[in-house]
Amino acid sequence: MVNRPLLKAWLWSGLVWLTIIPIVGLLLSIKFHNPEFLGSLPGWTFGRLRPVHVNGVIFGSFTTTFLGLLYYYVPRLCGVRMYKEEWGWWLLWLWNGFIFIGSISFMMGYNSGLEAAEYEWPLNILRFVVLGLVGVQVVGTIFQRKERRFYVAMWYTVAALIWTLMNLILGGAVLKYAEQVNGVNSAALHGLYIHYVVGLWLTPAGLAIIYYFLPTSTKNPLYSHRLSLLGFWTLAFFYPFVGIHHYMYSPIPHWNQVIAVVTSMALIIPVWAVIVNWFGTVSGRWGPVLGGLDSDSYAAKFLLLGAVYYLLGCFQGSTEALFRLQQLTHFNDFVIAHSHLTVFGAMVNWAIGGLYYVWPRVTERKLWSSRLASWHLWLTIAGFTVMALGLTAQGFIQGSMLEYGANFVDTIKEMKPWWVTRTLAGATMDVGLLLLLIECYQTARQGELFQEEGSSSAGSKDEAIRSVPKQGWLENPPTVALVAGFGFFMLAVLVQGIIPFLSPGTRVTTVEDVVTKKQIHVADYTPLELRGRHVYIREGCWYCHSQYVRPVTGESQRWGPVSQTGEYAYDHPHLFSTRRIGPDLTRVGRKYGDDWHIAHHWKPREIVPDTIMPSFPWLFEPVKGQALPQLNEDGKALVAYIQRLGTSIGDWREGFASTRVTTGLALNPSPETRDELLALGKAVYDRRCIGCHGAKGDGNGPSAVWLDPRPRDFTRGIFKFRSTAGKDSLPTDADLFLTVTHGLWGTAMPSWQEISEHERLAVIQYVKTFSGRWQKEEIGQPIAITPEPPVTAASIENGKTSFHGKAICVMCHGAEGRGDGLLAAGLQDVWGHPVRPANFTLPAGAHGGVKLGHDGEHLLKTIMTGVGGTAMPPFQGQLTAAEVWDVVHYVQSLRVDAHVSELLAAGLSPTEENESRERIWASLSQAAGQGKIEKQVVQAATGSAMVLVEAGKR
Amino acid sequence: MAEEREKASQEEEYLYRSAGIRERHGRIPLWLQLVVVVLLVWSLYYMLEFWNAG
Repeated sequence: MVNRPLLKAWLWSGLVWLTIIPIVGLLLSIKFHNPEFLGSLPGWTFGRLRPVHVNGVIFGSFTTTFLGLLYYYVPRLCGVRMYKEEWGWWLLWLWNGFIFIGSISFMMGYNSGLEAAEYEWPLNILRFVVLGLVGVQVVGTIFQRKERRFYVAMWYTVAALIWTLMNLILGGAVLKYAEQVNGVNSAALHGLYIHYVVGLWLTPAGLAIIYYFLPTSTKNPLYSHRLSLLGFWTLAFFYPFVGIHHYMYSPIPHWNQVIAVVTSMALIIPVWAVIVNWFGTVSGRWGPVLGGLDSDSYAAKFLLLGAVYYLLGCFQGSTEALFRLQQLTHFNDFVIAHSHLTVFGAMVNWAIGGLYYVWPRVTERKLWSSRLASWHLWLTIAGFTVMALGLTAQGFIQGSMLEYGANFVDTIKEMKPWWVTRTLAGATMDVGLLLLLIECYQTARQGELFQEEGSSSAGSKDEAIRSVPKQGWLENPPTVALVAGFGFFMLAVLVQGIIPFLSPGTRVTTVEDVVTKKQIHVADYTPLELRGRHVYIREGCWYCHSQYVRPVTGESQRWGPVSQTGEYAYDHPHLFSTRRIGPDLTRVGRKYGDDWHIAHHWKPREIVPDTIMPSFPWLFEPVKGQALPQLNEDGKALVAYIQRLGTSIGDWREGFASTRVTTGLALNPSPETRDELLALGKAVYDRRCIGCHGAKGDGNGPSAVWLDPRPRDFTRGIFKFRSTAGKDSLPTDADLFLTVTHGLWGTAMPSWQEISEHERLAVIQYVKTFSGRWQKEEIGQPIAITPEPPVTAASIENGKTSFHGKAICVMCHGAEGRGDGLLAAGLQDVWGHPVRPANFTLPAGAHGGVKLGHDGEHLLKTIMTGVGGTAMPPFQGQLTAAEVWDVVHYVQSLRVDAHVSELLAAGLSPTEENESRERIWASLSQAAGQGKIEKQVVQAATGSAMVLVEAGKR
Repeated sequence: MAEEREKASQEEEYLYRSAGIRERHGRIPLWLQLVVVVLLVWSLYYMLEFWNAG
């Protein structure tokens, strides 16, 4: 009834993919703890190999084996040979071609940016054609069947093919080519798509396998037809709705997320139903199954092992959709534990179980070695159990660390020993799979002759069949195909994809400006940014970096403001991502200078020793006359795209890391306390500072050559920002604490607010050991800060006068405070490096802007004490406190005007301009925040902002 | 009488001759029926409670 040569060829292919693809997973796993593994070849980075592994397991290892098994069980369940059986040979070659070429295409950088739908269109068509023709063969066989009853394995087979063919249209056409489906709608539909691959392809195909091969291999009747019905129909109804649980707490409408939670939990029903059914089927046969040494026994063992993992993995999957558990476990290895438990633990093991059953029947040889099969089984159990438990534990550990407020890279460091364990566990499993390959090869070559003993679960031919119940409408092929296959799928896509798409709230191109709380428009990507986005997709950056900030677990304190719908208006496809092996990048724009990104892409571990990011030397090119390679066009575009991220919601970074920080009495510790801190300080320095500032603290770390401005040389004990009087005076611990905590905008010095205060204090003590000044000189007292006077038009005008006159600020900072004064071009610091005067009009983090913000007290201190090591002198004694406050107000007004003009250019309603101006002032000035601001200040400058807008347009 | 009919129904079997699979009509355990009811009630409660909670 079956075509043995065809079946054998399909199963050989399945065996090859079952061996190769998990090895790719092993290579990827090694990269987690040894990121330099496999060097810096473009095709072998994590971002390019990951889709090879994921798609390879789904479509190579599992599906190839499944299709081979399908050619076995469909004819037997229908009582006729496969319809158009000869097509199977063509389909075999086309399918293997699809997997092979697809894998190579990923390594070459062809990637559409949609997880589990990464293939480019020719491969999508090929996959669709093969599965479509298999569908035709299955349907044709059903039409010709002689078996009048339609077995549960056939329900799942028919439904899986219908669901998947529709899903391939969703992922391969709608998500890719419908430009209107972008942003959160792209994410919502993609969430459905991803889970349809798992839940409506792998799951039903796997269930078809175990439903066929468990009764046949255990030689027992299927326990309960009623449970089969319950399991199938509840899965068919609930599963199509769950996919949005991949993007919980994102801007996807909340009610869609609630439906995803409820239906995910409801999946407990079909899972428990099928588990009871399978274990009931084995009832009374446990001894022969577990103690058996023939191929059928090993088939049953793998099927039951898969059932156990299925139960665990699905319970994990259902509960992790719950909002609270999602907060802790999403984006981390808990999800990877779940996906491995279900895909490898259940589906792949079921396919292997089917293989153990079928292989002797197609080769007509008995299993070559039961000892080898036993080793395969126990290596799988040992390796996989360690992997699944380890990854689950990792998820809780990393999730808890992040929820507690740990630095992201610290959590990565914590994971490394666990990842080593994962590699060892994976290697154990891979050895098991290699043994399977050897077993099958030797069975085909040297196994003893095998003879089928007759209908396995039918028992003795003499046994009477007690009755033949009538087939109900729920199990008829048309009901299965039309209601479960088409109907429920379309219903779910309508509710979870189309209705939210039709809702105007998901297609807005406006966002709320974080500072003024007013609506502004989001600009489309520039051609350069768009090119950078393509590079980001090509290199698979999105496999490790998510792009949405959730309103939970302190993410808004860690990354920046919570994501808004409108921010994603031009994202096609969306890049929300499902994993955070690296930090979320939603708000990374302007967090670092371009120079930091360049150094980071060249040799990441030189600047962040604990990172596991690959280096990207192919984004650089040598330039004549330059000692260092420079970014090529792709590299420049990528940095432009990264710097754009998160900047559409206004100048939020200005108030994100406050300059008004204090650590109270812990500062300026006693000598005893200071000594205790030194050891910790060195450890902190070696992990976080050494890449730029160097082991000797001389600013010559391995990354320093890339950075402009150069990292601070601590050996001279000269620091930019201080509260102590006098030129280049030593700063207080509080001053250094502020710089370390806040970071210096527009440079490679990031904010370290994520590490503990204790660590920050400790590293300050260590930094002070690099210069003898700390031993020789007394640290002065901080200058007195007089209370800020009200912000008035007169104060600003007086400040302007001083700025242009007595204080001679204009000479360096320029007439409009843009850092372009007459002397600006030739300025150098005490090390001879060029220095650029600050451009006061730029937003926070922009290159060339202020480094510590426009906060009034900070500006006052900087004017009074100067900027250490530069031409900016201390003005204490030259200007009175009142005069300095006037200059501060003038400088702030420059930024307020620029900020308002940016908002007007972004579509701020002119009627909201004054209110917006007032709020911006309140965010920069304590006096304005207390309402001490003259109405005239808010109103009078309207014209100047409009002039700036017009100037910008010109 | 009804119990006997139900028991007889559970014991009914079908043989898929060419596949060699026997299938019992079987039953759904009471505890699993309770799980189904509880989950459906919980689902209803959850949707009503959290529909607009975002």
